[in-house]
Amino acid sequence: MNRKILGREAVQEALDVSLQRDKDVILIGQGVPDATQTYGTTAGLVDKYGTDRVYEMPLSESAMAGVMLGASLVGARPVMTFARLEFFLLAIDPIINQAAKWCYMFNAQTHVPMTLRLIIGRGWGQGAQHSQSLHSWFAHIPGLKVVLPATPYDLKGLLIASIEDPNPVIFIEHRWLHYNHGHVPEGYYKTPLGIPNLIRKGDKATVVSSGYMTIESIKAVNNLNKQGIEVDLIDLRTLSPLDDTIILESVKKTGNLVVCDHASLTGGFSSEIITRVCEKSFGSLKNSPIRISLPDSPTPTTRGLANYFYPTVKHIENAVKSLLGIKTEDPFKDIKPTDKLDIPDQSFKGPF
Amino acid sequence: MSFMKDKGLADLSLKKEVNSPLQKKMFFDILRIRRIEEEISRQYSDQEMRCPVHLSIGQEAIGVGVSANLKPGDYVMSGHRSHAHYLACGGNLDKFIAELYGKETGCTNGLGGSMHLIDKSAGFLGSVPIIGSTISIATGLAFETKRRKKSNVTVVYFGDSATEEGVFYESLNFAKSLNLPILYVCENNEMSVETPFSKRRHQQQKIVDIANSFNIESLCSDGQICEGVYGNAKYLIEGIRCGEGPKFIELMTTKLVEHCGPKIIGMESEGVCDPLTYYKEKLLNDKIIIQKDIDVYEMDIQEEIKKAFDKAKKAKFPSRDKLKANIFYKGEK
Ligand SMILES: Cc1ncc(C[n+]2csc(CCOP(=O)(O)OP(=O)(O)O)c2C)c(N)n1
Repeated sequence: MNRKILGREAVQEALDVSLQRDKDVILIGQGVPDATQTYGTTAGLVDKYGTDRVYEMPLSESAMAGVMLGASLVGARPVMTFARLEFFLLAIDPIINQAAKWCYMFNAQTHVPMTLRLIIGRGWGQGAQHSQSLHSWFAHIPGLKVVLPATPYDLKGLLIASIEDPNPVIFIEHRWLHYNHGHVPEGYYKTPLGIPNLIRKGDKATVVSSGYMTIESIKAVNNLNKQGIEVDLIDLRTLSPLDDTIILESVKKTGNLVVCDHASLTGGFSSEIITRVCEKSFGSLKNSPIRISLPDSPTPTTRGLANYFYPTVKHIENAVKSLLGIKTEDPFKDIKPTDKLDIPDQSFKGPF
Repeated sequence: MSFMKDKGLADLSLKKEVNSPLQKKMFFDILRIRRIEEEISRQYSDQEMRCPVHLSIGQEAIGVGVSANLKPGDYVMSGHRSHAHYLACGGNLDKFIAELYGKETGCTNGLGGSMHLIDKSAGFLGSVPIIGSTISIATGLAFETKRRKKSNVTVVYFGDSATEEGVFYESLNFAKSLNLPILYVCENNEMSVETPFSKRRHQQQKIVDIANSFNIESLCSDGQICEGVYGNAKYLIEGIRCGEGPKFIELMTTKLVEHCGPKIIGMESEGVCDPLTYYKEKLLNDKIIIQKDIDVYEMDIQEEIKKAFDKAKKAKFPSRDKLKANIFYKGEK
């Protein structure tokens, strides 16, 4: 029963199950029905459900987000896919000004059940305009739900839950998660929005992480375990809504907090986590918390610099160790500019 | 023969305008860009040019024909498929190849890659891969040149898909209302990644008609025939230089490569006009050029290309301190 599939297959199954269960669900996006099928995440769906359920989209992100908002007001449950988060930025008005406020402004007389899948690129020279992680920014907008799946299990469960949610949901899919294997049940199930997941247990420190960073954190925690250091690893799953109970309980137990976020440092969501811990449980902290994030810089294209842009498993390991008073070295020490760290695995040969 | 002509598109043919030195120059420019792109395609599988590449193969005649009308001081901008535009207006080859390899000697010192080219000395002020973005930015270049009472012209290249973005309409409107000196060049290869034009626009709509409806003088012609491109662009650019305001040209073309990546798809398919083969045959036929000239030139470019690749491979990656060096401009105001 422990079926393992790829992340991109998990996304495809979530879309398939949702289209199957609710005839109001429609998919739209550039390349969603075409030969590339959004990296395989929409494979076979246009054949199965037809062109009045699965739509191609012109290069009109702004208007189309508005069109889908309108459709959602009168019955549709649209799932829009943006092959890069950046392309969604053209649709800021209909989503931030309109969709996020619609329910509130009209006092819940109408609502906007739409899901926006935003894919974050990384590696192979994605550069400044194909790799941004802006979830913290979206989480700052009241009226938007922000979902950051990590495991294949959650890619499926959280996507189904996002599509069923009666509100606008930003579902952020890191491209490298598509390459990850993991346990995924067949058929229908949901991962509820708002409840973080305790992935590993331990009492030395609390590691809070989300999205792709959780995959790195799992590796780091496994390495720490081998060295006899047991920590709690909490995967946020959603930034908004967020029930922080489990985080506060964990920090009470461990007294040490590391927050990992695949986004630039300043004003990032890790600050929100640390603030909540400080506000609600300051006394339980034995040490100052540590943030692991991307630098406050646009993404460089060349791997010669990108190799020093993305924090590594070592960064997370070292952060925990330093809280425990263990000396560590520069985590980039052994990384050379020529290293080919810019691919999710060997199966990836470029270019997107 | 070009398949475009059969579609009955406007193609102002040139009689006196082109002379043999110009014809040779344009042919050699197409040939050079083709050989450069082919070399990128060949070497891409070594997995050392680690950035997405959108090759210009099949579309070279457009950049070459338009650029032959540009003067020092003119500006050029483009989008994700910009190699030909950059090279045709004089963008530096060594810096371009080094950029693909992510080296410090690249035209953005490795920070940008294939989709973010720049060569200020050639007037090429930048290409970016967010579809449509440079349409308004280039309109801004034209706005400021006009405000400064300068006589230079701005050219912006974009694909057919960019005309689906709101920014296209908003920019045309503004450019017309202020009569800005800009030429909008739409390269219509009738594809957006894997999606044909017909799935994104109503059959009866033509891009050129959109621009016309803004009362912007607009032409649609064959983008595979370099002299036609040159002549139409000349007509429009001269008008712009005389203060007639924005102009638009839609050039029908064919991408002879996969959307993104190194794969070249056959030139032999029926109905496809390869701008290089077409022009070569024409110039040989018309005795403007002889095969020996071509052979000599081929050797020269091979040499130039080989040097550029060798230098790029030997060059260093930017040093680690460059990661955050230029987030803000720290030079003089
Ligand atoms: C705003 C935006 N949306 C989507 C994309 C993804 N994308 C990159 S190239 C492309 C198709 C471009 O087609 P076209 O502009 O006609 O140029 P071509 O590639 O055919 O030369 C798309 C959809 C993008 N880069 N920017």
